[in-house]
Amino acid sequence: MAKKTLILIVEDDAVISENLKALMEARGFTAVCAADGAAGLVLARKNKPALVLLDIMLPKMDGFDVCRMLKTSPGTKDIRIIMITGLERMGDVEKAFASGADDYIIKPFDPVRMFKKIEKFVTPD
Amino acid sequence: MMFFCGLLLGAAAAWAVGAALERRRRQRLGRFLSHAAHEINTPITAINITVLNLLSGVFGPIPPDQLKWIEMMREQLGRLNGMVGDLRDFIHLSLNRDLLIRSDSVDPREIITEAVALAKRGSDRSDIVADVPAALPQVCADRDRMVRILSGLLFHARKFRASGDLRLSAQPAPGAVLVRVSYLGQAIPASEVACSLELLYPSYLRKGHTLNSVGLGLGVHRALVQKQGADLSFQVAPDGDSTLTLRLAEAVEGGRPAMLD
Repeated sequence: MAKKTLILIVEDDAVISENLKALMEARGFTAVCAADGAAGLVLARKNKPALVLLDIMLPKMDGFDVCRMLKTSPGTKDIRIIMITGLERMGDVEKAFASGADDYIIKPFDPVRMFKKIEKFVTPD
Repeated sequence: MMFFCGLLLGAAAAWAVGAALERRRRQRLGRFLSHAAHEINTPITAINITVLNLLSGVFGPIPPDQLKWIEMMREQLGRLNGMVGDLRDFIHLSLNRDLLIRSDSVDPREIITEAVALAKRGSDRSDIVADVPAALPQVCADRDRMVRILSGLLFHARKFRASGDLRLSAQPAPGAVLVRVSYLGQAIPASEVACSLELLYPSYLRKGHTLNSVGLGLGVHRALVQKQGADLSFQVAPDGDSTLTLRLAEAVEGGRPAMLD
């Protein structure tokens, strides 16, 4: 059986991350979740996902630092990163791109637009 | 003379210190309220994605007799989310915090489609009749905010209509695209119509006075569309035929996305 495209979800709210995981799996991806920035970094290095959905406000290490560390490390620099932010923090978008993010999505999610952005970079196998 | 100069200098220094403290207090209040809006947004996001997953069958089929209740939750969540967004933007507007408005080239039909999806009721109770051409010029807008504003106008029309469907139309005009939301409402005086576009209109409650307002009101929406180089107007005919018109500026060809302050 072909290996499915892996997406890593780094989000500290369990309801949001479990729903995102279910949504990704229904779409044909596989997904793993991390509840904070440090755990996200460990999982990204270990599993080499095709794409990371990365929240900005995270415990232990914020999304900007996780993004910067992944994008400057030879083993993970090619992983696509989509940052997740709220509309009240649009200033974060500029910071997200500066830290190396490939794109961003805004909460609350619209699944149609979210998959448009994700599938610009990766498709389910 | 020296005494009066000293008094003046002392008063000026006290005023400057007071102004600086007030500025700091407002900055702190702004940050606090912005943080509160972010915190409120998190559970809304969690409930919203759960409802959308339920409706799209991610968790399995929904019994038909339960579908309409979940659709109602989705509609109310759309309203709640819109109000939190309006409140957050109002905080930024009223406390002179940096309000970052995107200025992208957007297909107005996408704004209309998403706003209708947010405002529409259960699939069997659609009350929005749309008349949108197959092609329209690109407009310059902060897409997500404009979707929220247009869905807010649809909620307004639904609340104040006396009878009939909500009519949504779009047409090109010189240098702009006009998006209109029309409905048959109550005849209200022109002065009240003009007043209802003011920022603090919902606070104008007087005895025997019916507020022509839903959510935070049309004034917040008008202030936000004006920040995007667009405008919002409101006309009510003597027979109650009411029209809210969004005038969206046509995007300049070759224009680049930007952040407006």
